[in-house]
Amino acid sequence: MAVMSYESDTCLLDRWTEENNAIVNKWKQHNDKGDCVEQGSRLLKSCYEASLQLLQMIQGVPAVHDRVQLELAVVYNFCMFSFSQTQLTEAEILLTHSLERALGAEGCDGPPPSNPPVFWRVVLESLGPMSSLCSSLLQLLCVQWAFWLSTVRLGHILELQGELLSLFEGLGLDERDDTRKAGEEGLETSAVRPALVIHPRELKDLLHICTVIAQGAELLCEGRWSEALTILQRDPSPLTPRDLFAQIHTLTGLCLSSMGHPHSALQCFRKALETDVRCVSALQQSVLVYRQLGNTQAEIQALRLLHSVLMLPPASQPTVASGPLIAPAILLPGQSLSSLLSVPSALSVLHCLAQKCVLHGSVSEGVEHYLDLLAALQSDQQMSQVLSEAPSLPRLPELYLETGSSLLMAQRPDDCLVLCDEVISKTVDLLPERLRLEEPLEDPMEESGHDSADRLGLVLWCGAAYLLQAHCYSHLKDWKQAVTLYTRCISLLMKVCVVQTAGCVKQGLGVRNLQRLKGLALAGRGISFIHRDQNREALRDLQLSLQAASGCASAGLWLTEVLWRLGRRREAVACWEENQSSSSPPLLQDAPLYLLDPQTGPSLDPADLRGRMEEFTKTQQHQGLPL
Amino acid sequence: MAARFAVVETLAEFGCPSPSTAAQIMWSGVDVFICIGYDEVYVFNTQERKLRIVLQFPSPVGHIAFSVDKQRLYAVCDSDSVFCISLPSLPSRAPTPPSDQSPGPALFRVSSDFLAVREVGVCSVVEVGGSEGTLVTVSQREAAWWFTLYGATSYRKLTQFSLPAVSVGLHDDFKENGGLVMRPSLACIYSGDTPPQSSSSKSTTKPSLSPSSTSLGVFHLFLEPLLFKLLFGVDAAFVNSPVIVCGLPDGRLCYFPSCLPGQAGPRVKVLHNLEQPVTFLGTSTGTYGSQQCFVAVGQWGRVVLVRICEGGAGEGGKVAGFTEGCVSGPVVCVCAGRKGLYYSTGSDLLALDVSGGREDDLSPGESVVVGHGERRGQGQARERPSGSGSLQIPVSLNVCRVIALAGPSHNASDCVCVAGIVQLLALSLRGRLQQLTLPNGPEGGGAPQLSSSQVGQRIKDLLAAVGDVCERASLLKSTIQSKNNSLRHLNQVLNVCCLLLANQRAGENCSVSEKPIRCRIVAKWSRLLQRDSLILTCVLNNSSPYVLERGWILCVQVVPLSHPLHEGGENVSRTFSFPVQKLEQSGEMEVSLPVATAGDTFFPVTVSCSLTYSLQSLLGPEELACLLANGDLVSCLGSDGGCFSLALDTLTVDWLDALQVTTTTPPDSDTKTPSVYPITTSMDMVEDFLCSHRSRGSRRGAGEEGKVASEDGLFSASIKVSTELLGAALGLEAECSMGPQGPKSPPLGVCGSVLRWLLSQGPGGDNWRGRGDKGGQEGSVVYAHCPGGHKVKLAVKQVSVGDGSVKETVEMQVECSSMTALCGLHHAVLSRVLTLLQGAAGQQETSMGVQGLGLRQALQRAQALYEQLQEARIPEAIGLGWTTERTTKTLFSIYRELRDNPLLIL
Repeated sequence: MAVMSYESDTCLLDRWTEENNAIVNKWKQHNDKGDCVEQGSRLLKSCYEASLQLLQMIQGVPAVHDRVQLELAVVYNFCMFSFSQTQLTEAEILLTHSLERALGAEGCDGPPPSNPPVFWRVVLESLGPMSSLCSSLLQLLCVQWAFWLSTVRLGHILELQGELLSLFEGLGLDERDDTRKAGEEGLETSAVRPALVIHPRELKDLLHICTVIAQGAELLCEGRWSEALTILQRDPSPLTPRDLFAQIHTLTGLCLSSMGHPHSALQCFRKALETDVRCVSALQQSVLVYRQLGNTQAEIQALRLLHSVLMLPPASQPTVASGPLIAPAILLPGQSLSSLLSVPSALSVLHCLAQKCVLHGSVSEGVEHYLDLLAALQSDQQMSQVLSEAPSLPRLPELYLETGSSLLMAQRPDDCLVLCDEVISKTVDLLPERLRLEEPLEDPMEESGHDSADRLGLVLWCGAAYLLQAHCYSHLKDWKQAVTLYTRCISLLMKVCVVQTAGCVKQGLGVRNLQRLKGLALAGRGISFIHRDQNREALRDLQLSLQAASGCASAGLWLTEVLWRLGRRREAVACWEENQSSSSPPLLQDAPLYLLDPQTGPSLDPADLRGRMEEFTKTQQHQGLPL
Repeated sequence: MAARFAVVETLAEFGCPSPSTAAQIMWSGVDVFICIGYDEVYVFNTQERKLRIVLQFPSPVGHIAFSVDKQRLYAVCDSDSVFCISLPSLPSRAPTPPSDQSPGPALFRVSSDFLAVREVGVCSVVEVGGSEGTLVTVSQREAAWWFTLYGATSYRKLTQFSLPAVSVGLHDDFKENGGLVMRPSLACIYSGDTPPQSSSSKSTTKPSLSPSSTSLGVFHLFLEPLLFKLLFGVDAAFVNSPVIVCGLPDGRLCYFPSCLPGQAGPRVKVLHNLEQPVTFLGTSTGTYGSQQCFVAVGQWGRVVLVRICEGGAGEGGKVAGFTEGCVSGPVVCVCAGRKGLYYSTGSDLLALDVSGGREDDLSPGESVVVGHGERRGQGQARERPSGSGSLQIPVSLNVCRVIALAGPSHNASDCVCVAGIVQLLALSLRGRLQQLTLPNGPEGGGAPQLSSSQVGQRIKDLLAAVGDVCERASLLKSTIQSKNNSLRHLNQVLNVCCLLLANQRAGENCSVSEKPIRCRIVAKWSRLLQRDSLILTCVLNNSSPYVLERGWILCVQVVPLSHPLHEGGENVSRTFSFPVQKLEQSGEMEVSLPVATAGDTFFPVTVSCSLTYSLQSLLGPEELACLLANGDLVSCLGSDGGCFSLALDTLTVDWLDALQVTTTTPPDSDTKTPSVYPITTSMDMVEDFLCSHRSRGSRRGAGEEGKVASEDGLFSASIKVSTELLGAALGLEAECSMGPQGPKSPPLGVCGSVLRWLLSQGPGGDNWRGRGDKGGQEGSVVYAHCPGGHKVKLAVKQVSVGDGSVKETVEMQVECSSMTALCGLHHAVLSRVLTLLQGAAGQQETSMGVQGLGLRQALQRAQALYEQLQEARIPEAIGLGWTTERTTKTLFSIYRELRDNPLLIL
C-alpha cells in the first residue's frame, strides 16, 4: 500500500467506493429478501470482516482530503456491522482514529483532546463548516452516541446534548435530498458517493428513544421519580418501536406506583400491554401492584397471564427500521433498567401461581401447577430455557413438600405419600445424629452459619415429610400407621437441641418452624390416639403440642374433647374458654405451606362442642356449683 | 520409595510445545488428539501409528475438549472463541495422495464457519450431557470468572454466573511457571446413580466404575450419591442435575449445578481452596475395601481427597471428609488410573495410590475437615496436615520430561491392552508422543495389602474353588468313561450283527458246525413232580472272535408244526428269552426250557433260535428314566424300542426225539395200557401225510389192508431203504460190503447202527445221544413210550425185495397202538432218512435199475388204492349221504395200506 503511486489515487478512490457499495448492497439485498436468521448472521459476519478489511486498507495509506469522506462512510458502515458482532471497543477505537486522520487531512493539527465530548466539539468546530464533510460527521456523531448509550455513558450524552439536538435538525434537512438522490439513483451515483448501510435518520430516532428510556431508568433508580416522570412523558416519536414504547409505559407506571398512585400505575401497565403483548415486565409489575393492593384474584389472573406469556416461544425480532443491525438491547444494557424491568423465570412464576392458588381456594388448579413445575424441573427442558438469575424458587425439598401438602389438600394422599417418600429417601442418609443449635442462628446468608442451618433444614424437611405422610394415613383412617409416622417425626425432631442465648427473644425462622413441626406432630399423634381410644396418651400429646407451639387451632379443640371423654368436664370447659378467648390466630405468614394446619383428616364440629360446653356450664350454674 | 521402570516407546514426534500453553493429549477410540499450543491440533492414529489429520485453526489453540458422545471436538482459540468440529465429518485421508507415496495426513482447515461461541477471555469448556446438551465455558474478564451456559446445538446463551476473581499471586505464578498460562480445569460430575442420557460412549463403560478422569475436562465423573449430596447439596440430587466443578488457577474449587433454577444464595459456591493452581480434578473408584473419593491436585503438589466419613462426636451422621496431603511438585500433568493417579513433575513420572485410605485411617480433627462450613468458620491451619502423612508414598516410574498424559489405555475402547499392563500416552517436553508401558501399574504393582482375615478368607475361597473344579472334573471323567464303554459295547454289537447277517446271507445250507455262533438242542425227558416232561436243553456256542455282552437276549421260539384244532387259530408258539450275561469267545451258554409234558402230542415242533439286542441297554438307568419321562425314547429309538433280532438256527424236534426208550425187549402185554389220552386224530394230520406222499405215487393193493390192521389195534408203518444207500450214507460201507450172507439173518451191525442213528441223532446236533445205547448194540428192536403214552415198537431189519434181482434193503418198521404217534414217527423217520440221503446225494451214484423189483406189484397196489380213494370220494362228490364216519374209515384204511407197504428207497 505504501508504494501506491499518486496516479492511481483516484482510481483507488473509485475502487474502494465500489467495494464499499458492494458490501452495502449485498447486505441490503439480503435484508429486503428477509432470509433466515442463521444465514443473516453469517452474512453479517462476512460483511463485518469485509468492511474491516476495507477500512484497514484505507487507513494503510496517508489520509488525503479526497478520500476523507469515503473513509468516514466506511467507518460508519463498519461500526454498524460491529454492533451485530459485539465488537464495540475495537470499532470505537477505529472511529476515533478515523476522525483524527480526517482532522489531519484537513490540516487541523495538534494533539486531540482525550475527553470524548471535548474531542467531538473540536471535531465539529474544525470540520463542521466544510459542507462536504458535515453530513458524514453527523452520521458519525450518531454512531458515537450509540457507543455511549451501549456502554451507559449517559454523562457524555448529556454534555453534548445541545450539539446532538441542534445537529439533528441539520441531519434531517441537509441530508434528506442527498440521500434520497443516492437511494433513487442507486448504483449510478455510487461511484460518486459511498453508500451507507442505515440511514442516519432512522438511527437517530432509535437513539433518541433509547436515551429517554435509559435516562428515565437511571433517575427512577436514584429515586428522582418526578424528574423521571417528566423525561418519560415527553412526546415520543410516532416511529418508536412497540416494545420500546411499552417499556416507556412500564417505566411510567413504575414511577406512578412509587409515587403512591397504584391505580394510575395499573393504567400505565395496561397501556404498555396494549402496545406490546409480550411486555412481561408490565405484567410482573401489575402482579406486584395487585399484591400490594391485596387483590388476590386479580393477582392470580395476572400471574397466569404472565406465565403463559413467558412460556410462549421467543418471538422473532420485531422488525425495526434498522433491521437486525442494531437491536435496542445493545443500546440499553444498563443495570438499572434491567433490574427495573426484570421478570422472574417462568418456573418461579409458576411456583408463585401454584402457591397462590392453593392458598386461595383453587386447590386442584394449584396442584396441577405444582405438578407441572416438578415435571419441568425433572426434565431437561429447563436447560433450553433461558435461565434467569433471579433467585425466587425455594429449595427443592421444600418444593416437593409443598406439592405433597397441596396433593393432600386435593384429597390425593397416595400421591402425597410417594412425594414424601422421595424427600425422605434423598435426605435420610444425610441426617445428623444430634444437632445442637445456638439461638439466634446467624443469618443464613452469611457463610459461617450455613452449615448448621443446612443441617437444620435437612431435619425439617425429613420431619415434615414424615408429618405429611402421617397426615395422609390419618386421612385414610389408618391410625396405627399414622401414630408410627408421627412418632418417627417426633423422635427425629428430638435430636435437635436448641440452646437459647441469653437476651435473645426473637426466634429464627428455622427454629420457629421446628417448634411448629413439633407441635403439629404431637397434635396429630394425640388426635390419632383419640381415635384408637388411647385417651391418656392423647391427653399427654395434645398438652405437649400446645406447649411446643400454640398455633395449632385444632389441638385446643381436641384437648377439650379428650378431657370431656375422660370425664374431666370442668377442665374441659376451662380449656374451651381459654381456647375461645385466645382465638386470635397466631401469625403464620412465614410458615411454609406444608406446616399449615392440616385441612383434611379428622375434624371436630365446634358447634357440637360449644353446645355441650354451654349445656354443662348451665347445669353447673343451676346446681350453683362454682366453675 | 520403590522405583519401577516404565518402557518408553516413541510413536511420533511433533514440534516443541508452546511454552505458554499446557499441552494436551486426549483419547478418542484409536485416535489421539494432540494439542501443543499452536494453531494445529494433530489427530494421531495409534493403530496405524501415523498422523491421520492435522486440524488447522485460525489462531493458537489453548484448550480442547470432547463433547459427551465424543462426536465433536471443542477447541478454545485465542481466548475469545470456541470452535466446534464434528469429528465424523473429518476427512480420513488426504484428498489427493501422491501415487508414489503412502497417503500423508489430511489437512483440515478450520474456518470461521466452525465458530461456535465467541466470548472474550474464554479459557476452558466442558459439555454436559442431556437431551440437548449444554456447553459450559469459563472465562476471565473484568476481574471475575464467568461461567456461561450455552445450548450445545444452537449455541444460544442460556445463562451466566460470575465469581469475583482473586488476584493473589497470579503474577508470581506466571513468572514461576515460565510463562505458562494456567487454565481453569472443568469437570462435570454426576451422582453415581444417574447415567447421562443420550450418550453413546458412556454406555460402553459402566459409569460408576469407569476410571474416568478429567485433567482438562475430558470425561464425566461419577460420585456415589451420598458423597455427591454431601458435597453439592441435596437439591442437585433431587433433579439429578450434574454439577460443574471448576478448579481455578487461584486455587478455589467452585461448583454449580448445571440445571437448577435460581435459588437463594450465590449460584457459584466455593467448595475448597487449594491455594495453588488446580491442575486436576477427578474421582477414584471405590475398589475393594476403600471408598470412592473425589481428588483435586494442585500445581505445587497439594492433593485433596474428599471421602465420606463419620461426623464428629457432637453431631454424628455422615460428613464429607477432606484429607489434604502434599506430594513433591510441581505437578505438570495428571491422569487418573483405576486406583490412583499418574503425575509428572517434569523430571519424573510418579504413580500415587489414592484408594488406599480406609475409613478408619481418617480420624476427624487431624487431617480431616468435618464439613466444609465449619472449616471455613475456623482457621485453615488446623486441619492442614504437615507433610504427606495421610497420603501414600508415590512410586517413581522413571520417565522424565513428560508434559502431558493420557490413558491408561484400558480406558479407551480398542487399544492394545494386555491384562495387568497399563499403557499411558505421554507427550514429552520435546514434543515426542510416547507410549509408556508400566510393568505393573499401581493397579497391580503395589502388592495388595490384605489383612490376615482377608487372607484367610481368600484362601478359603480358593480352596473351595479348587474343590469345585475337582468335583466337576471327576464328573466329566466318569461321563467320558461311560460313553467310551457304550461305544465299545456298540462296536461289539455291530460286529456281531455283521457276522450274523453275513451268515444269513451266505445261505442256510452251510452246515451248522461252520457257524461261528450257533445253537444246538437236546431234548430229554425228566420227571418233575410226578409228571414227565420233555426238557429242551439249548446250548449257545460262541466261537466268534467277539464277546456277546450284556444286552443280548437269546430268544427261543417253539412253534408246533401242527397243533390240535380245538386251540383254534391262535398262535400256539411259545417264546422263551434268556438274557446273555456275558459270553466270551468259545464260551457256551446252556439254557433249558420245557417243551411238552407227557400228554402233549403236537410234535414235531420247530425251534427257532435268535439273538436279539435292545439299544436301550446301551443307556444307563438314569438316562433311560430321563428319556422315558420326556417321551423322547420312541423318537430316539423308533417304535420298536430299538430292538433288532438276528436269527441263529432253526431246528426241529420230532417224535423220534420225544421217544422214551424203555427197553429193547418186548414189554409185557399188560403193560400196554390203553391210551390214557384220547387220540385226537386229526384230519389235518392225515392230509399232511397224504399230501406229502402223494407225489411219490406209491400205492398198495387194497387186499392187504386187513392183514396190517392187526387184531389188537396195533398199527404199523414201515420204510424201506436200500442197504447200500443207507450204509453209504451212514458210513457203514464195511458192514454192507460183507453184507448179503442171508436174508433171514441180517448182520446185526447194520440194523443196530441204523436204529442207533435213528434214536440218537438229536436236532441240530451231531453228537450221538446216549439214549438208545443200551439196547442199540444188541438188537434191532426198540420198545419205547411215545409222548402220548402209547407203546411204540421200532424195529429195523434187513429184507430182500424183488423177484429176480434181489435188492438188499433195510426196513424200518414202526408199530404203535396210536395212529397219531405212528404218523408222527413215520414222518420223523422219513424226514431223517430224507435229510441223510440229501446230504449224501452228491457222493453216490445210483447204479442199479429197479425194474424188476416188484414194480408191477407195487403199481397194482397203487392202482387199487387209487380206485379205493376215488370210490371214497365219489359219494362226497355227488352229494350222496355217506356218513362221515364211513368216509373216514375208508380213507384211513387207504392210508394204513400206504404206510405199511412203502416203496423201496434206493
